[in-house]
Amino acid sequence: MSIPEITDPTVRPLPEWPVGTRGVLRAVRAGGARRRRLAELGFVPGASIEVVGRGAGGLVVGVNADARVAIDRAGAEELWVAVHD
Amino acid sequence: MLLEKPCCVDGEDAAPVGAPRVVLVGNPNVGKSTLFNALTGARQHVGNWPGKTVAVASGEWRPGAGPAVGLVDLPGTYSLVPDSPDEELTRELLVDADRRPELVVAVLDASNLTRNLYLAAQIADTGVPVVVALTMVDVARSRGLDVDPDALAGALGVPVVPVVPRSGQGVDVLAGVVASALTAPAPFAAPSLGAALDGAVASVEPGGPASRWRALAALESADGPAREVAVGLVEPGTPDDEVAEEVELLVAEARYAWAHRVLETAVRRRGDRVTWSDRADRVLTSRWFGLPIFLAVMWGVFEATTSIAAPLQDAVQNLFDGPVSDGLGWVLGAVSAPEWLDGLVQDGLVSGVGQLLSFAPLMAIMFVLLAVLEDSGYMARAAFVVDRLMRVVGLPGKAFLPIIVGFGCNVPALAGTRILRNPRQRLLMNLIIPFVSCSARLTVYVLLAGIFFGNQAGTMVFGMYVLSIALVVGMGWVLRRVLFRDLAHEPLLLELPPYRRPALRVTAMQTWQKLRAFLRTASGIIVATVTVVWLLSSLAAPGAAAGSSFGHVAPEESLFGSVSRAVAPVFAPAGFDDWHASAALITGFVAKEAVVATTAQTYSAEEPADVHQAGALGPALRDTFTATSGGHVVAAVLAFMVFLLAYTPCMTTVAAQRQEIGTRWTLAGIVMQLGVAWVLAVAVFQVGVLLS
Repeated sequence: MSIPEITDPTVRPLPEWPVGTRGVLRAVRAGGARRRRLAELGFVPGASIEVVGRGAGGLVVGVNADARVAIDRAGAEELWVAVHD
Repeated sequence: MLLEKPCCVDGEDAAPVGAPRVVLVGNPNVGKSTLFNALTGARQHVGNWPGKTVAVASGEWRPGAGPAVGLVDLPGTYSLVPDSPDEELTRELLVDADRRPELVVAVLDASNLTRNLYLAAQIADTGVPVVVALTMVDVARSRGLDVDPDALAGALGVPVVPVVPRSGQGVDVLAGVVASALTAPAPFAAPSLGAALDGAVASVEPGGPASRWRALAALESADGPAREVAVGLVEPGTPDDEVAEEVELLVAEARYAWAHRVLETAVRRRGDRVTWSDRADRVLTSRWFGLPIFLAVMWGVFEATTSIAAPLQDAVQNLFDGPVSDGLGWVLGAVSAPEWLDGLVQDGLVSGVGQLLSFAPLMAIMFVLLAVLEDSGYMARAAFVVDRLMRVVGLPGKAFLPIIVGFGCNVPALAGTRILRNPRQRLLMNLIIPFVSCSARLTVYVLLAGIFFGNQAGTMVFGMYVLSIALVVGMGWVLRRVLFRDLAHEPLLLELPPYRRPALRVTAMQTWQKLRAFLRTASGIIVATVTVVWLLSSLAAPGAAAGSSFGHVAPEESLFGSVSRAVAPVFAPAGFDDWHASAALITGFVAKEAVVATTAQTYSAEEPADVHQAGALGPALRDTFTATSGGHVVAAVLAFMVFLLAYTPCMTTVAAQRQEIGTRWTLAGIVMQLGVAWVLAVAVFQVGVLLS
């Protein structure tokens, strides 16, 4: 699917934010079953996101405050996040 | 309307016919199965849903003073949109008109309510009457989250009962609420998805059962009469082929927006604090400590399934070889049973049943370890930590555990594939686990390498392990390209549930059930196999020397000898066309532990007490392989060892596979193993001949 370019410099892929960052998910740049899977775990635009940790296999991400989800680096690149001011 | 009963391993159904069906639906890791156990106690069984590879538990539950209901524990799911057979089953049950249950108990985790409500919204859309069981209220409170059940009930429009499945607290209240909900069923208030979507849904609702769910599904697929309405929902100018996905995203966002609105009325958050689960993860999933800790845990699992299990296995085996066998012998003697019956019982059945039961402690240990690793929350971390490493060989992170265990014994390893959620992934692992070289095969390698390779023996044995790993990776690669293309490249995305103390009572009960199911499935195969082998070796082949009578036949004159002789020419291209070799392989199909003993018997040699010192067996085997290989002894012995590594490990693995993947795939697996083993053995011998 075509994904609009994101030009806002405050919105960046998740792996670019350091551990401890809290923000809001602005865009999920994936399609089909992958996007459905992400939505099931809470990753829809507007969800609150926290970079909880970085580990051997990728990132540990907090979603909607309470859920913890492990995602590999490539997968985390699909999640574009804006940081709270 | 009655639900179809899940089929059961033990063939009995606990719930009375005609009883209402209540199903438990919820996310994974919300305490759903623990709740199921608290509700049904021992009156339950686990089995595959008819026609599906989805395991469900079902049982009888008597809520309050009401009549008994059939309770079904559906697999944990994040949504009703089917992406896997588990989710497909839940969707079918809740949406398909003729199979809908009377009531859904939606099990929601209070400590993770947003995502749980996302599923609840979908359940609500099916229109099935719902009662909410709210778990983990205490966990939520310890994290500064106060969930108000009454406010939640008000927002959802259905009863909400806080329960603690582990202690049974709140279960009585739940029973009462369910009993009254069954007499006066009330569906969820349909969750509002905003004016635009709600209007669109109303305009395409087909009516009948699950009308709202069907309307949403039609909009989300943007086909049929709903297409035009769907196009109206998305931004003008959206390309035709993207309308469906855009609507799907709109619906998902709207469901979460609804969940957030519910949260605002029902949950109070007292600041936020770093949970100790997060703190533990800083170490357990960290770049530096994650992998070493994972390896230490796997070492523990391996030790438990080998060193700790071994004495227990020996004890069971000794019990059968000694007291049980002697006792039965005495009984048979006392009733002056015919000699053949004595032979069948003592040499066939007792040793077969003994072998099967000797696996019981090992399986129990494996089931307990799996449950503890899974329930404690560590398994998800292990999968995360090892994911990148396993990805190199194209397998998911969790596949590490059954492979490690397989080096001890393949039987618990096959059961260990249950940690993989995806049934296709489980099937693939079941097909490649037999290539993991178990410890029983090691004794044969050591014997042969000691006889033929002298001080190179260690290298040769090590080489067999390298080959084993290559086979696991290689066959995994081949199967994924031929049969399992759908499994290619699933990126890592998994929930890390909070760490928790496993509920030991539930673990014990589930272990017992799984063990019982395994023994039931395995006993038939094992009794049949040992009886056939015993019969073949007791019957004299036509034309045997005079003096042979039933049960008193030299190996080479028995039917077993004739069968081995008939099979032997198949191995001519591999350099071991000899009945001694094929007899060893046939016995190896029953149990690799018996290969050394059978080989000794066929040469009428003493079974070596220590496989490092072959005794008289050495020269005998050397003569055989020299004769069959045309002088290329090393090539022939290597080919034999490779065949031994790659073909079917033993009849108990066959039984375990049948339990996990069914008869048809088990048979296909055996054919594959024999084929791979033969091709490899022939290749090794032919290359060896060319090189020398």
